Amino acid sequence: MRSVTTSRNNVDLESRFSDLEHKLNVLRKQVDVNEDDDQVNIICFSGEYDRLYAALTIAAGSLAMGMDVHLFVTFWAVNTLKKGGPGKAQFSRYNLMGLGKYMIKRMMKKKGVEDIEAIYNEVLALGVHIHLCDTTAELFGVDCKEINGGDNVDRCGVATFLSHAMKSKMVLFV
Amino acid sequence: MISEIKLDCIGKKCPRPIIEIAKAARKLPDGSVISIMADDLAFESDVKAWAENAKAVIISVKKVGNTQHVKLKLSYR
Repeated sequence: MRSVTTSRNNVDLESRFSDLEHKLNVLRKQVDVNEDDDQVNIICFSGEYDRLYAALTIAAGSLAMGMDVHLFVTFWAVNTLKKGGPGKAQFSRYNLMGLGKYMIKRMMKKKGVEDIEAIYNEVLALGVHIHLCDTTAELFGVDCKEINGGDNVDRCGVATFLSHAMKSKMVLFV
Repeated sequence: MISEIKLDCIGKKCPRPIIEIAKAARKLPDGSVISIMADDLAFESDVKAWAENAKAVIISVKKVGNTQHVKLKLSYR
């Protein structure tokens, strides 16, 4: 009789122990999350030059401030990257079949405002992570290797984005 | 010996000046001094924001005409 009680106690202890271990792991994850505090996530939805310029400037500034920056590239931004990169993008306003873009770029050069390609290259050099939305990459037929981003590019789904977003300092939609 | 480097950001617009400061800071040891010259209007507040975030200390700020001359020291991280 006694040995049955002992083995029952052992089973009980074991299940309580593994329950505690599980709870401890959950708590550990909550503490470790604070190490990811310095994350900035930017959803690049728009594919236009001016909107990408804003997103990339913020990315560059964040990287300069020592943040870990993740770009989630989806829809029109994926299409822009496929079509040769941010430099090839149209302006969202006054594009005027390319004439407006030409005039604005001329003004930028005159006033010493850097071209988007320069900012993009800087952002890559500073170690941005580029995640291509799997669905829209599939839609537009884009592969990671086609993107000028080297090892910084991968494909991901919405859950990956959300796991980053929920523990980051800042999330933007451009 | 304290490393000191000079950055000329005249004519360069945001975000270029802080990108250059960040790139320099990545390569320098703690205690190094970075001297920056810039005439971008955003620079004055941007460099302060950068320094506060990087826990760097601004040693001096001088304004000569439109140009800001800022010296900052990378403190122990």
